[in-house]
Amino acid sequence: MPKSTMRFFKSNLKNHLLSLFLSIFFALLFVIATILFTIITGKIIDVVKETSNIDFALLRQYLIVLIICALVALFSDWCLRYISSKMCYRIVSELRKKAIDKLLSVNISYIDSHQHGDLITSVIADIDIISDGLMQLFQKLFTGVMTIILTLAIMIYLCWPLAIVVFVLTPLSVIFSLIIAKKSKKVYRLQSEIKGKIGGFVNENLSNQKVIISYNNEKEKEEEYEVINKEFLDVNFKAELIAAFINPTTRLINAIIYATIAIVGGLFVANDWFSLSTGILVSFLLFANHYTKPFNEISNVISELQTSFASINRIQNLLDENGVVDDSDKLAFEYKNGDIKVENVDFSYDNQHLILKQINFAIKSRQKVAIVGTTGCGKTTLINLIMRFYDQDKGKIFVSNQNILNTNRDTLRDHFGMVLQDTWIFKGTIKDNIRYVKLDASDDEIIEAARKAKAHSFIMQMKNGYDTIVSDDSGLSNGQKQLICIARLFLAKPEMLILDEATSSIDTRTEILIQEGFDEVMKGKTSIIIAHRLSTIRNADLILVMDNGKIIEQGKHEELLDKKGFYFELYNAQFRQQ
Amino acid sequence: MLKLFKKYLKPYLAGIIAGPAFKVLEAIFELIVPLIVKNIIDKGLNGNAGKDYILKQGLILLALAITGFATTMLCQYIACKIASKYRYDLDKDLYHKINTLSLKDFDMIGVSSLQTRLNNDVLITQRGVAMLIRLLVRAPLILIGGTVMSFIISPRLGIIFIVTGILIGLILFIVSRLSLPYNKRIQKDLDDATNITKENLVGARVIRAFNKQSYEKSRFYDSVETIEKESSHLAIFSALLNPMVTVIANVGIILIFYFGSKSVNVGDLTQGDISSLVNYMVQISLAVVVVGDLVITFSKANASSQRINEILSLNPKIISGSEIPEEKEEIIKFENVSFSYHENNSYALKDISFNVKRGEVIGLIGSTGSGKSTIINLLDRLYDINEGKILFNGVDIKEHDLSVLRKNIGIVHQKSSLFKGTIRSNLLFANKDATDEDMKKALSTAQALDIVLSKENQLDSVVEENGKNFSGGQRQRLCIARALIKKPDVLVLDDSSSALDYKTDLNLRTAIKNDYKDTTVFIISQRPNSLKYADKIIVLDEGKIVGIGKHDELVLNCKVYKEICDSQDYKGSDSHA
Repeated sequence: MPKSTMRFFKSNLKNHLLSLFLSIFFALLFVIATILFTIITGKIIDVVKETSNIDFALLRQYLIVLIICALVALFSDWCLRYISSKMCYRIVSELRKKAIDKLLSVNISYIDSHQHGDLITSVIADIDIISDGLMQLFQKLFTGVMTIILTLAIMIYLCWPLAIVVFVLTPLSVIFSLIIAKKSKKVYRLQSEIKGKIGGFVNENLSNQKVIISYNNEKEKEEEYEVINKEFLDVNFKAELIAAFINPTTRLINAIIYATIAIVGGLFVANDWFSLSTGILVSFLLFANHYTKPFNEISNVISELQTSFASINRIQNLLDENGVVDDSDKLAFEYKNGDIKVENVDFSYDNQHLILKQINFAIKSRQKVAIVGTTGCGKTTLINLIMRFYDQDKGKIFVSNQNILNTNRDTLRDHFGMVLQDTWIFKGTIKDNIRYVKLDASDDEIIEAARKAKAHSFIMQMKNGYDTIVSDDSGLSNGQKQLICIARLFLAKPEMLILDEATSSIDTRTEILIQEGFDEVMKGKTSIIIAHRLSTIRNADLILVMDNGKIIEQGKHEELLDKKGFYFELYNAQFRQQ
Repeated sequence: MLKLFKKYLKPYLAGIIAGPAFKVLEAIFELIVPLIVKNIIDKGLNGNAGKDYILKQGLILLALAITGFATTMLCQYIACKIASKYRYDLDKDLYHKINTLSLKDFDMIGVSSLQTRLNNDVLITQRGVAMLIRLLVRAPLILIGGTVMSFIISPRLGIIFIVTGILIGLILFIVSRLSLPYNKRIQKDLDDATNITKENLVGARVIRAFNKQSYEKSRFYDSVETIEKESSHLAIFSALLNPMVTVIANVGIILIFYFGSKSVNVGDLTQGDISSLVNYMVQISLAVVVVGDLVITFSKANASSQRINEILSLNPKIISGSEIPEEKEEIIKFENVSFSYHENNSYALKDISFNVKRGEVIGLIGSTGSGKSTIINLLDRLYDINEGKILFNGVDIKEHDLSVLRKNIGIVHQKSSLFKGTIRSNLLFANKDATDEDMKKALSTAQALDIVLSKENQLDSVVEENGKNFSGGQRQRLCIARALIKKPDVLVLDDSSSALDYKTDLNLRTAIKNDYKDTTVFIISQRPNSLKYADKIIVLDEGKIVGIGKHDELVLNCKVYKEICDSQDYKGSDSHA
């Protein structure tokens, strides 16, 4: 078992020692009861040897013991299975919680650089597989090991030569399954990988079904899927075959052992060696069944675990991710004013191509700053840095006269309100979606915020009003989603606002009304707006004109027009006749 | 579950019969074993057959074991082949079915649920199939075989076997019935957990921006804990299954001894007989216990197959017609069209009528939720209308060949997204036969050529999932190129320049006008400036048309339009500086 898997077991089992102990206890109880049952069975067979020679009194005693053993076995087996199942489900919960904790605290770069479908497969499907493996382990392993030890002991007691025969032959099945396990590791790992690939494909394409339909691309997508489907078919068949191989092989080995005992034991009895009686031989044969069964099961468990190992590996990769945001040693950000100063900032996503070059600007508190420029010039990237989703390569950013690199991210973000280009609505009621930013908001506050964002009227037109359930995929148009995101701002009332083309999907009529509301919310607040709307830009206190990662002009609207430079051209574009 | 298995396992009928048939052989061999032991005891040990006899019987045991192994391996091979092929076939069909679903059904079921069914539920049913072929035949065989053998040995004691068999069957049935609703619920809870995980990934920035990590955590925790609770409840009685089966068999053994001892006493049965009977009972309990584990697997497989059948039984609501009409002057006509997305919702469009001539540039403007995107969705037949008619080239689009209709309409949707691959693959997506020249032309018109030329691998540059390695504006332009490369009769730009600055927007419109002269263009925009030069502007308000005409007319006659223009500080021909 690889070291990382051992680490996995250790860290995830250490909170369940009581359940483990109870499982072991009940397993032991079960095994003792079962073995006792078998021993007595053998003894009874000896009692019913001949006609008119049966000691019924002794028989009755034995039968009573059998009844007790059967009941104890019932109870302890049930407890074992229930307790170990419950423990496994608990471990599954804990793993999933750890996974989501990690996904929520990890750097944005991790999420941006991984296929979502793959991550989802890890959190949902892989952990289920691990759970199946663990359940097999606990339910079969303990009883298995104890059965082996106890039956071996008894067999040695009953007839040690035969026991040696058994002892020598049975490990064959385990050695065999270990060899298979080793050879199959590659197959199981590949199977897991392809499963992740399928998850990624399905996630991306189902999320964009509208585009696929509109472009008549259904057939092509099916052909793409066919390729991965076939890949999985091949590896899946191999994996299944390997697993299916184990049972029959161990059964064969068991049967060989059984036959050997029958022959050798029969000879012993016939020659009256080692005082072996028929009854004891029959017991022995029954024990042989008992003894070989756990080897069979352990082989199965090893096989199940192989599939689990691949999944454990994937989960470990996620849980081991180091790029975690850890601001615990940073100072808390203190909002004193809305001054923002960016000094000599350079930034690249991949450490090779600079997206932002030598960014320098300063905003005073309560100023409205508009950032304009051609697409891809770095506006959104700049926002990423101010919100500390990414950190700059060089240079400093000061907010409220504090270097934000040294401040705690949560406390910094408490003072920013953000509406992004891509809206985010989660599955829930409209009320929940607005309330999201201030969980203790009253219904009145929520309705007031919606009113200010001019969302109230469309919400009231919906079937259940504020209690209508919506999600990112259904229930709302893009414009309506934007309005809800803006309503969030009215509820949260942060001191500084970052608006990334926030109102682009809303008609200008509604936008005016929102602007008035915005003006109110922005009163006395610093705001940064990435905008394309002239009206927004014209009223800004400062305009930053960006191109290709640099700020090429900055100033107020009239000043910039007078320069007759880049901004002048951009502005004029709207009046040029076709 | 049976319906699913029947359909997808039918092609493998030969294997499904052959596989278990081989297992039957193995089972028969196993059933002979107690008889041989009985012989060894009665004839070899208690009788006079001698040591050679014992040896010979032992060798028969070995022979049986080896032959049994060979036949089992054949069965295993067949079972694996069938099970893996089954999953492949089912996933193929399921994905195909999902591809044919109308958007209405698609939206209703939800992407996460479809994902879970495709990735998770299918595998669960595969497990069921594999176990079915490999193990299901064995248990009843041993059960019946063992009972038959015991009848042969002693009809009187054979009754114990029958009663045992019935009781075991009863327990299996009850537990599987009880588990079904639980398993369905658990799968649904898994859907929810999948959805929340997805939302956490898509909304990563928003969550962090508003410091909502702990809220999201508790949301997910709740979902996960529900799964745990349901699973644990289920475990209470599913854990009882195996122990119950074992105890029933054990009681059977006790009864064999109780009644059998009396028979031995009067000479009706031998010690060998008793040992055989016990042996058969043990064999039965061991075989059936395996089925016990299967009940749980089958329960899950049953729940999953129901979820899969739900999808497979859906019929595509949008059925293609077969007409491919000739090009006509009047390319599009909406006649009194009304439409609502769901039965109980208010109408998204009410009594919409307008027509479009080939080559015209049509603007669509209106407040949020006024119905602009809806008109486009209907034109593309993503949904079918409730009332009225939509004609494309003079033919009702319901009669139109669907793929030809969509081929002729190139849409740049509001939230433009690309697919994982390369820029080239994304363009080929729209037009398989596009040459590099075609691509460069489309990219150039879309103002996206600079994006391609500035990258090292140009057309072969990598596009990540959803195109997230490009900025919003870059994505939009690439999506526009994608629509253009289709060389469609109708180009639709649904608010597709929202992320573009004015200059680029103007260049785009100019380029389209020059390079795609004959293309009919629909532009949905919030900016009157983008629509100013359109041949016709349709103004929508709350699902109704409140104005159609050229810009100058509308400014005078349409109140709604005037308001929109005013808000843009539009000063007509008054150009600054």
